[in-house]
Amino acid sequence: MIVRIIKEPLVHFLLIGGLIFAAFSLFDDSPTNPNSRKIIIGEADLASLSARFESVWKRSPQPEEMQTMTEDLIRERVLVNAALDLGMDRGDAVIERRLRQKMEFFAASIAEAVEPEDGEMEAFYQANAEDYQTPLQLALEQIYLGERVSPEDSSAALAALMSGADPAQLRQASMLPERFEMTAMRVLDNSFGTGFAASLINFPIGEWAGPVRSGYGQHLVRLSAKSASTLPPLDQVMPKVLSDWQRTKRQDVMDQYYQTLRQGYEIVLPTTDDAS
Amino acid sequence: MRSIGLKLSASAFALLLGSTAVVQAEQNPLRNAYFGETHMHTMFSLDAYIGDNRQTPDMAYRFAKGEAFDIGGVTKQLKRPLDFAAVTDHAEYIGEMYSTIIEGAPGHDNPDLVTLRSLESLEQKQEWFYNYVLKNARENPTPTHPSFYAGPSTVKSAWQIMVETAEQHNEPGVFTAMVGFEWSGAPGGANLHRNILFRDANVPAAPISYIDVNTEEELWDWMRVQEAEGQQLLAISHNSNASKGRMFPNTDSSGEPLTLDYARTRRHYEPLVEMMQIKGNSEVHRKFWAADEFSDFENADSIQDNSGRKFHARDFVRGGLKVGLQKGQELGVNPFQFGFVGGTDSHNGLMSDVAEDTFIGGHGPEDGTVERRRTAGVGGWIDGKDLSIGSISGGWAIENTRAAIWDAMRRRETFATSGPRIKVRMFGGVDLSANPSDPSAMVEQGYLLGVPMGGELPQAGVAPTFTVYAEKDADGANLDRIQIIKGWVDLNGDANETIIDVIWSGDRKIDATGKLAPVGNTVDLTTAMFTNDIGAATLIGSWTDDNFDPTEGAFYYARALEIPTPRWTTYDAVRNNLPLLDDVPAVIQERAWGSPIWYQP
Repeated sequence: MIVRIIKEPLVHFLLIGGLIFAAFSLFDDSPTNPNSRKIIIGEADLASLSARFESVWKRSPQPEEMQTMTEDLIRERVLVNAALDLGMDRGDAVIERRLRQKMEFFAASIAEAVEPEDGEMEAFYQANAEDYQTPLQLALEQIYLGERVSPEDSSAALAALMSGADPAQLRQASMLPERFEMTAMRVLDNSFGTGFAASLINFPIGEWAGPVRSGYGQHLVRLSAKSASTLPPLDQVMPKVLSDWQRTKRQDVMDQYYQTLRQGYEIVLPTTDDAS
Repeated sequence: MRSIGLKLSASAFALLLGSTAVVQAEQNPLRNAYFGETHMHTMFSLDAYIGDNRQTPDMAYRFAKGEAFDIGGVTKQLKRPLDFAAVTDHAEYIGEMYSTIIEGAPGHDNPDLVTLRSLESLEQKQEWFYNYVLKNARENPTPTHPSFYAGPSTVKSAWQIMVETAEQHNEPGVFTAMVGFEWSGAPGGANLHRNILFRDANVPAAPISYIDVNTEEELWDWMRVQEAEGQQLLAISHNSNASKGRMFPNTDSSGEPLTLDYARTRRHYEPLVEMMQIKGNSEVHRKFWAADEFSDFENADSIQDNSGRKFHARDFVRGGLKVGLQKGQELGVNPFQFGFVGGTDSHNGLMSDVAEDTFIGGHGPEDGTVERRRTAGVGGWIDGKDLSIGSISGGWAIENTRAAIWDAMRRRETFATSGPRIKVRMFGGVDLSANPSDPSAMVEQGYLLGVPMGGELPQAGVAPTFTVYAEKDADGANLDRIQIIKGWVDLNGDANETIIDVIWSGDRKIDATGKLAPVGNTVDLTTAMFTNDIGAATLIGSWTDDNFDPTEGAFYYARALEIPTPRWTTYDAVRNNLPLLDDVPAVIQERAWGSPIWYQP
């Protein structure tokens, strides 16, 4: 990973995110203090109970049903408050995982709202250029000599070619294409086996050379062209760059958010003596 | 600074323009082999999610294109990216999964889903799955949505994610991302699952599930409606081995004998069958095919220990092909005229992760450890050691685009392999030259004078010749032999079959009993290594059916076998310093199956 400088907009978003979170805490009428002795059931709670009932039973609840659900909600709040007082949430993997998920969802939702600044995409694209380069390509002709060929026979075939022999007279029948126009190395490897294309990189252009080993046997190869790997302009690869940027950004925001929170804590780890 | 950057971009652009013309491979009228996955589950499948799958459809396509992902603490990456792939999540509960996964989606805060997201142990997961899914399926003749279903809008939203993701990843000429889903019908525990694949992004607003329609006939009715609206789609049946006699049946789902209409409908909508996948090989089973010396291959016997899924000969692909001939004789149209593809059906988002030497299980924690793979299994389905890893689809197409690959599937010019990228090809016709030696010439003549795999021989009075060619996986093991399997139905309506060794490596001879000597074995069981000192890189040959009777319906398909290589259980044992398992083979002969060519009088 490239070390990224924390850009101002990101910090802004974290601040805004923090503010939203603070605002939630202020306006949320659910108990924020586990020791609170007051349980307030608001209109919003009742509406939510009613909606949940409707989604299951496809009708509004009757007053007595509403009463039962409200009683049950109160029971839940009382027990939850009491459980929090007793610290029962601590060390419970299910509760802790859920809370962690909620925090991560929260950070991710902030990240999703972030739009790239002017020039930010260009910079990201340049910084990760290797992901967008069109791969190196080779154009070539090849002659399949056979599965098991002695060094003498392959040298003789190469010498014959160099002195102008007709390639058709030397090749073994095969379904492997005899000629490749500019082709990505990965595609060549798919045809001949992994590593085949890499073994041709330093071959001279326009001259027969080899033998080269493929998954099928021995070949003689004449490179006709080799393209440098090139970087296409940003607008050609924009959808991919944008989705990569968003993915990276989301991770960045989540990491930053975590780091910001973490700075507010003193982390105490066991010393070597404790651990032993 | 900025203007310099622009100039550079402009010249890069010119370079790219110059090269685009050649990057885009030309169409090859003789067709190329493309490899891909037609059966993959992501976190949008409920059973996959329960198994800790957190791979999105996007991640599944990225994996198919070669990106690395960490799964259960292991970094997984395909050694070679795929040419095509389809995410096929279960249509059942796809809306519920949308509610589960997407924060703020309708139903997201439902307590049952809150619990689902927080499940920790394997036991908790199995219990939750039993209470909300299996119990429902067992107690109701037709399954219903669970109480946490938040309505059809969630199904559409989930489907939209599937479609958009495939659209994003589809790169004509480089990588084909198909839109698909799985209809998971399982009446009485009989597996009648089908994967539906679309030719393009012209798709319905929502997939159809086993909750919506409970029979395969209704599924085809739905497909007919989609077709009338201009969509192009096909169905691939899978795990016929677990279908309790119902994948290639004598009767329709209501118990009535098959009709001409059934035969025409099924043949049109289901041109393909999934030959093999992680839950076993469906070609044949050694119990019913003792005479086929290669029938003991990934038989997945322990499937029979679950949900009463006892095997019948007709549950297997070759059995189904034979029943198809009989029905064709009876009805005039063969309902089971299907070509072959392969998939994994893995529930971990890892497209075509079929290499024996890097298997990590396909069902999350159920088969995610060496111990569970050796001693436990995938609950309700199969023992860990019986898992086969899965297979891969091949198609002969003029180029790598959705249309070209889907069209190859439609005309059944496909093949399946048990994992390696073996290419297999067969043509049939009365005018084909015997004993070809040049594969390119064989292919040219095949298209000119014969029919390719998946095709039907025209009416003929003389014996047809079949030309076959197979090429080893460029990175894999050599080939042992190519066989042709012929099935036919005689005038009494009895189905018969015969297996011919057409061409093989080395100078082996067929003995007096008609058997070809085994190719040998180079596997070192202490290191799980093999060599290519035996076998051949390519094989080419032909066979003429001298017993051909123009009044008898027949099918012919090619099977190419590799030399023996270690099974995944052997790699697992060697890597972990454990003894080899007694009750599974230590070495296997991987293989490729080419779609049949049929003859119907």
